[in-house]
Amino acid sequence: MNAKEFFRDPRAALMLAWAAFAVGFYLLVWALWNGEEWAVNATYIPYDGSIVIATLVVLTVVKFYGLTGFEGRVWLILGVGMCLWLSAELIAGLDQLSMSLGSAGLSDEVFKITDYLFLTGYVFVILAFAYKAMYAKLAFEPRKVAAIVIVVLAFAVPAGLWVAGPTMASEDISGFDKFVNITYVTLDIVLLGLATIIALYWGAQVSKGWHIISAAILVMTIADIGYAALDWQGIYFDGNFIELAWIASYLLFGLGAYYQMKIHKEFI
Amino acid sequence: MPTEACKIVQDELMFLGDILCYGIVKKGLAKVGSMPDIATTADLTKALDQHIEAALVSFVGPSEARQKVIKIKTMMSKLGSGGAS
Repeated sequence: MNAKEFFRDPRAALMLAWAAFAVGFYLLVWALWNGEEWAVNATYIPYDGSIVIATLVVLTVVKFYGLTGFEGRVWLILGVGMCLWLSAELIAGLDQLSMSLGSAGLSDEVFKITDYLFLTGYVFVILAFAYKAMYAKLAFEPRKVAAIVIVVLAFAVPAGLWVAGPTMASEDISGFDKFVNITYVTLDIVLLGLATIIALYWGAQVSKGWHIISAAILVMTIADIGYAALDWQGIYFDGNFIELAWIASYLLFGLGAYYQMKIHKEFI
Repeated sequence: MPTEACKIVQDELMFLGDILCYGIVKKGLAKVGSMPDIATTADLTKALDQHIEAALVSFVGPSEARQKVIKIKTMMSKLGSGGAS
């Protein structure tokens, strides 16, 4: 199945169209209503829409594989991770919406739940890949391992310098916030390592669909580290273009999962 | 009812889940002009080479798929040349 055939499928086309809509929407907000609160809040429509679409697609994939085989369980674990991320994104979106309607929004204590949901979601996604690796054992190749180590270090060093280091040294933020900041970055680095492994091993030898999944993780890692660095310097704002990277990441997850299902449908 | 040889292949592919396992074997056999109820070891060997191994690669990679196919062929060879029950 080539890319042209894949994107002729209505669900794949919808995800591509949603990505184009999101880019257009953010550009419009930036060009015409820059800084206007209602417009910034409205960016939650393409943003939350992307993870809603991606999660629904992943759940369709879970249904296709069923739960009796290992592939189905891989997608189930990944689907649970996506559902946790979806819950966190929706809570954040509702908080923003309620504030724009004049209410006080969620309390800090309630809002902390989103961090737990995000972090637990990461754990499930990592577990899904680890579970898949138990079945898709591939030959050890020193050059690939060296490439993985280089990529991880290329991200771990800046993440350590710009996010983890300043976070640990700061006396202005709470222990919980320190824990959250460091955990996000650590899990991102773990995910990045996995993305590189998936791209070099599974994408090249098992199925090209894994290249899409690894791209999703790579884009998410860049977005997370970028966000953490901007937020740390106090220059992050809602509606920032960096949010497009998360949108791309969610949609790539959906596309990768859907691609896998499509190629496996051709075998049955 | 699938033949003995077909059952061997299906059992070995069951780790993929029933939908994929039965679907892959059925399509592989259809490609070589056979079906689970009448499949001989010769049919299944052809189906493994023409379809099932490629499908397995997309799940577990080439080396695991190769090992699985060799194992299945060894098990089928113990059944003899027929394998239909």
